[in-house]
Amino acid sequence: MVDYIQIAWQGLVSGFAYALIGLALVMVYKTARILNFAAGTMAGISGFLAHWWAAENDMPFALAIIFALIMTAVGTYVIERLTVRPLIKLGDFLPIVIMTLGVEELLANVSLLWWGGSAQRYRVPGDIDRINWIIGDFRLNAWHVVVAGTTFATLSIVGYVINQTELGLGMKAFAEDQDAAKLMGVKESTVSIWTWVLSALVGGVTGIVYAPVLFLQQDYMNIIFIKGFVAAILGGFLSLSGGVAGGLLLGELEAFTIKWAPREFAAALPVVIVFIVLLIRPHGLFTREKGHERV
Amino acid sequence: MSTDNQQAQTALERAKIPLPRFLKKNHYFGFLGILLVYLLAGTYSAYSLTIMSTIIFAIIGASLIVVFGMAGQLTLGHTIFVAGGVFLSANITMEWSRGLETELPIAFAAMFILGLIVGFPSLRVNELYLALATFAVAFVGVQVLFEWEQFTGGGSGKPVGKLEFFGREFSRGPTLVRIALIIMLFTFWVVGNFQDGRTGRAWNALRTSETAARASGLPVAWLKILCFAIGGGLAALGGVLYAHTLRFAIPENYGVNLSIIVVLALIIGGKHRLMGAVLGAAYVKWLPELSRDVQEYEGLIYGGTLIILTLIAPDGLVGMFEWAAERIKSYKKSQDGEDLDSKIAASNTTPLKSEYLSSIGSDTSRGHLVVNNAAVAFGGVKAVDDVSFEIPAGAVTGLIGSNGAGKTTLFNAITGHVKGATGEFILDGKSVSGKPIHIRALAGIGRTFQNLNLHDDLNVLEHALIGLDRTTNYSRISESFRLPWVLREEKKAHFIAAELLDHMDLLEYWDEKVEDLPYGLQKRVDVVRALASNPGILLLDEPAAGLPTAEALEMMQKVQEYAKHISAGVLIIEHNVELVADVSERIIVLDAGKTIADGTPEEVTRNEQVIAAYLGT
Amino acid sequence: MMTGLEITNLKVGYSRNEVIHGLDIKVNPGEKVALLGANGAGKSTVLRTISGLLNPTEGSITFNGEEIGGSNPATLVDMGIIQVPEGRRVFPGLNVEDNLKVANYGKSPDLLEEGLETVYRKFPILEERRKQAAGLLSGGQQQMLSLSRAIIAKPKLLLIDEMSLGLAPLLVKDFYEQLADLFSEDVTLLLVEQNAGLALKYCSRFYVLRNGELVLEANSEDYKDNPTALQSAYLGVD
Repeated sequence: MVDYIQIAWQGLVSGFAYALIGLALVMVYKTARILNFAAGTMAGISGFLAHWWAAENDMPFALAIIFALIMTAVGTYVIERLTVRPLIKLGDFLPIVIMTLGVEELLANVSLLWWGGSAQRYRVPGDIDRINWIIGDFRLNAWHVVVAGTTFATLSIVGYVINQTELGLGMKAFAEDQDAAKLMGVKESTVSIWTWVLSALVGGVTGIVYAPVLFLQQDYMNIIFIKGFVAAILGGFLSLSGGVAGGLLLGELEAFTIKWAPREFAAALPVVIVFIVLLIRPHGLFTREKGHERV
Repeated sequence: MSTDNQQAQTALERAKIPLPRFLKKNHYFGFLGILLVYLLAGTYSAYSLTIMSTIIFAIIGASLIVVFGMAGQLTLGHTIFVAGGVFLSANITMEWSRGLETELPIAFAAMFILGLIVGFPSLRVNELYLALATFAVAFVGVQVLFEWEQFTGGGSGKPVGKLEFFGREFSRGPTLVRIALIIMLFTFWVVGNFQDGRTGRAWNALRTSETAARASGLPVAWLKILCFAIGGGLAALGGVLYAHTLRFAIPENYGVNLSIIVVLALIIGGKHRLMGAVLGAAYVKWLPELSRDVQEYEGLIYGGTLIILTLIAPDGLVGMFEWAAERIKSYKKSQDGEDLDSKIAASNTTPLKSEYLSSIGSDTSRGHLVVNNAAVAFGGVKAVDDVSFEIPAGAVTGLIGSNGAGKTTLFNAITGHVKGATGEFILDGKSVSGKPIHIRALAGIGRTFQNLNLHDDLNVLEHALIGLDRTTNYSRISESFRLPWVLREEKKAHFIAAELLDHMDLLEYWDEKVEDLPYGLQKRVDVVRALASNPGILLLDEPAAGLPTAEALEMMQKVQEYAKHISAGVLIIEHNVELVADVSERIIVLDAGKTIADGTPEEVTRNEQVIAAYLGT
Repeated sequence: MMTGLEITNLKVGYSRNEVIHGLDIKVNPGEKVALLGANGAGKSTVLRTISGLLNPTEGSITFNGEEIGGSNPATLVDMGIIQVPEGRRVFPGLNVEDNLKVANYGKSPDLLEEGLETVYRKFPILEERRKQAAGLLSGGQQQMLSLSRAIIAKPKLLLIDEMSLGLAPLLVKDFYEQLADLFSEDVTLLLVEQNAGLALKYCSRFYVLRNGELVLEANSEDYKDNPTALQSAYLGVD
């Protein structure tokens, strides 16, 4: 019995990552109908930045994280202004997608040059990622609790911004009907920028908080990015909460599959899920079908 | 040519449209280029690895042209087919001790089948999701390869066996390069044949306007799956070559990074042209040769190139050359100051009487349309509310109504472009109720579009050829090898298309890209495309919109002439009541989803209810 | 300098196609003017251009002397140029109150308080359904919501696009009668309509658009009792 709880908890811990990245992807898609292929690499760089400030520059742990996130926000702003903005006017998504691929390649190379290819350990205060509490037969890693807490905090903050601020209202309106939103005075450039920055920050937080779990290495967030996408598909790409729920579900499915299925299958699980969902319910498990939007 | 023995020249000849041939100029140049490298293969052995990589990348690029360049499906998982080819090669040479004669066909066949499966998501998701889905496939694919130790040897990989062909062993080095060139020749030739054939046109059509492609009767779903299959199979050939070049197969090499680089190479080169595949491959493979340092900065350079290109030259290097060539061409044209009209010799016969179009003419009246209890509801609103009418064969009917009356919805219910329509729709005795768009098109429903839905990037002649797809008869396999009957059918189609263009006064613009044409001509292209499919009933969606009435009437006259020639019916939606009254024998008026009038133009325009509905009293 | 809305030689096109072929329209401050015509005439295109969703290819649009052609839509909203778009265009996933809040975007919360009070007084049913998703409202209720958004935005120049579209005639008549009550007297109004009869009762002057060109400009007085005389202008037939 405890076995199951252990696996379920493990699934949740991975699921939090997928949920957060899924959220980040859906955010950008809902408002701008674009997918950001560089999201995984950007999240990874946030992790590297936090580590760099803390380890190489002896900055206090929390401050390093704040600096890293600020740099992430600024960097995203620059990318959005220079590369995405000029292409939005064309109306065709393809150049933008290709553009984010280019950004991905570029950033991946930058991070490789700056931090090198070998895996590094991300040190946390008091080494709490090494602390495990034993409760009966159940092993609880202290850092995993931090991860859980961070996830809830992030989701709450994003939820607050989206639902309780005027900016969030503008973003929601823009996502529903661009033209009508513009007629109400919602500025397209503001919505675009904030969507990207918010999305990058969520990704950054994920990259930082999962660095101790996954080890800092080249492309360490890429697999999370892929699974975040699967989470978004599971949840229906137009639903923020759906993306989150999808992530948790994926985490659980994965945890149990790894336990009982052959390794090849467990590795293929994300793609299998994508295929199944697309076959049966392309608009996602958690959204009602809207006739006018083709998934 | 003396006027004494002036025979009836076909429109194609008069416009000097080149006939389809087995081999074109490009083929000769390409062959010469390949021959050159073939002969020099022995000399630059120091670079043989780079040369091999370039050739392999060019082959993969060509295979990607099928999926991405032509059909427009952005796939980031293409390397999974390459990986498949690589590991199949390793296994076949080592476990079965067989050579290329087994590796190549099996790799092609296996990856063709995988392509059919991988292509499936393209039917369910839009292009954006597809890009990400294939990205996921590439990523996860590598993981699977790692775990599938029996097939791939896991992390350590598998060695590749001897290079042989039917038992005869070859040493690597120049021979491998020559074999690679032969395969490249084959791949380029096949892809080129598709580009010049109906499947290539169909892929281009679905890339530029899926809606219109369906309405022309193209089986869009099957075409999408097919492009993945063919692209996959050809990429696998590159994989086999890769295996023999590296002599060792490791899963790690075939991940997302390679996928992105492959797409990158194609985009840098220019994604439509085979030359682009070569240029892109050369760019990506030779740049690192310039200095060791470059290798370290690969991502920066490739990524940076991609970003810059996307911003300023989205059609890649080939695109830049073509743009320059266009500029020179139009500069020369303006210098010469020639009048386009005089370039096309006058004919002493009308297109309808030409040998090609007269064979299409029909005496059997078609276009008998029965609509019973048609209804379409959006949310709670009844856009079309129980509409029934019957149009006799060969009739010209108008459908008018104020904004929101439901006429466009009814129209779309007939052609299949709206979901959730109920009721019976029967054309010439065949029921099309509930059938997909392209099936209805094949049953004889042809249409034009309010917003034209033309195929940007294609020229006027190609639009007519796309319309002619359903009557161009040859299998896709024949097409890939450009067998004799393919050529015959292509020539016939070109002759017919030219006559159609001539009839609609578009002949002189046959090689203009449609996006460069003025609106009035664009509308005529939309019409020509619909007429080319030889419809039983032609549905015209606001043919006069945006045109001065005189021009619209002229166009309608031509349409009616042709419709009469093929004995087809015509159904027109219009706001321009003057035009409709002029050309129709009968007018049906809708308001709030219901029929409020049905009679001759005179009756209808004097009908008080109609006037009230339009002006509101 | 209050000169109202002045459009001179306006040309608008999509890629190679010109849709509006040189329009001259004037709406004096406080005037209520109608822009009539059949579908496809280009009426919505004109409004969309004024509101900044489209850019003019030629010609000028000025409001109170300031050139506004090609401006960012948000800037125009700041200037008090507010549009009630064709087909209502409420945000279906947001609730009624949120829909109204968006109309106050970027402005002071006090104005919102004031506006909501006014709106709920005039349309009690909106207050009743304030937490309901706007997509679930009936067509008439959505029109109320759409007009309310405009009320909250406190327009100086009000553009209304086809209020009659898809609504029962009696309901439309109602809305027109209420217009005077909903917006202050000195609001400048340019109203696009297909239904001439109703529009003429409310507007003092009108233009008729056909195929992107103005074919008639007149006072409502002369046509108010006999809109069928407009037939030839609209339909192009006798």
